[in-house]
Amino acid sequence: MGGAESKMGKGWINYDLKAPKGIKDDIANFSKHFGAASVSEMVVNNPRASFLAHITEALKKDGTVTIRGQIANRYFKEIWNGTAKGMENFEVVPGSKKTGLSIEGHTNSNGTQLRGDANSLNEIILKKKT
Amino acid sequence: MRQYDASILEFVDTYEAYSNSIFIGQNHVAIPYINIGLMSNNPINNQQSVVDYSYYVFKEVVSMHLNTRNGTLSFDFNNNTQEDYITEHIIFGGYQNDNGAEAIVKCEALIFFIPLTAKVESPRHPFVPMNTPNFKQNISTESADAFFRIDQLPLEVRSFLGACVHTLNLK
Repeated sequence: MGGAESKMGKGWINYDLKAPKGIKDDIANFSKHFGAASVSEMVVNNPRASFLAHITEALKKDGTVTIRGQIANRYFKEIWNGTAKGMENFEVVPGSKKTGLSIEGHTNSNGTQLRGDANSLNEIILKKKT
Repeated sequence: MRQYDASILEFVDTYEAYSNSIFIGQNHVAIPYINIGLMSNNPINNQQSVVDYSYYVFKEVVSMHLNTRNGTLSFDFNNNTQEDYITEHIIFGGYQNDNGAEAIVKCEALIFFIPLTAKVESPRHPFVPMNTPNFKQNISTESADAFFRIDQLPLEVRSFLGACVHTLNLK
């Protein structure tokens, strides 16, 4: 879920509605592409939909999801505040919450740079409960 | 015009919406938005959507902080009557300039206004008032410019602001 162009490099698969490379599909179909307990690590930049409930089954035991976004993004805020749908299947990795990260290189769905303070990106890491 | 209380449900998502001006009057703030998002818990159609034209109104504002790439702009409304207030994070700007802001507004209530003629679509089909790297413009510049003008505010929204309205633009 890295937008049209993922910056993650080799060993990663980009899953996004706009992905020219990787898997171009709706997050609701995630389990059609990845079998149960087949994914060990995910990175989600600037989520624009509720997604936790759709990825839980595919994540391995102790699998992690790194999520980055701004608080004004409601889908990120729900995760940051622990109220997102599907959150009950995850625990926050202790010490993983970071604030003040650079928005440089992160874009909206329309391809323009994120708006707001230059250092307004946040990061949180979730681990699938065993 | 339909009016919804967005204070508790938090169903309004300004993150990928386009705006141009903030209108301030009588301790209230009104922002016209193109392509505002609705979360799936919204009372309009109960599914994740975007709206072509709508208005987000902040009642009895205590303070507003606009965080831009170039610094912070803060407003203290000296509205100390509020003991219990809502903290709302919104995105402002994005129309015809790239100096948008992430704003933090503390206020008494959030009201969402949607015209009876508004179009509501899936986020896969966003309303775009200018050409962007990923989406082509599908709302004319004339229509967008007109929508963002103060004299085009509907009476229901304008009535919140009173006779003396201040306009804030980020350039």
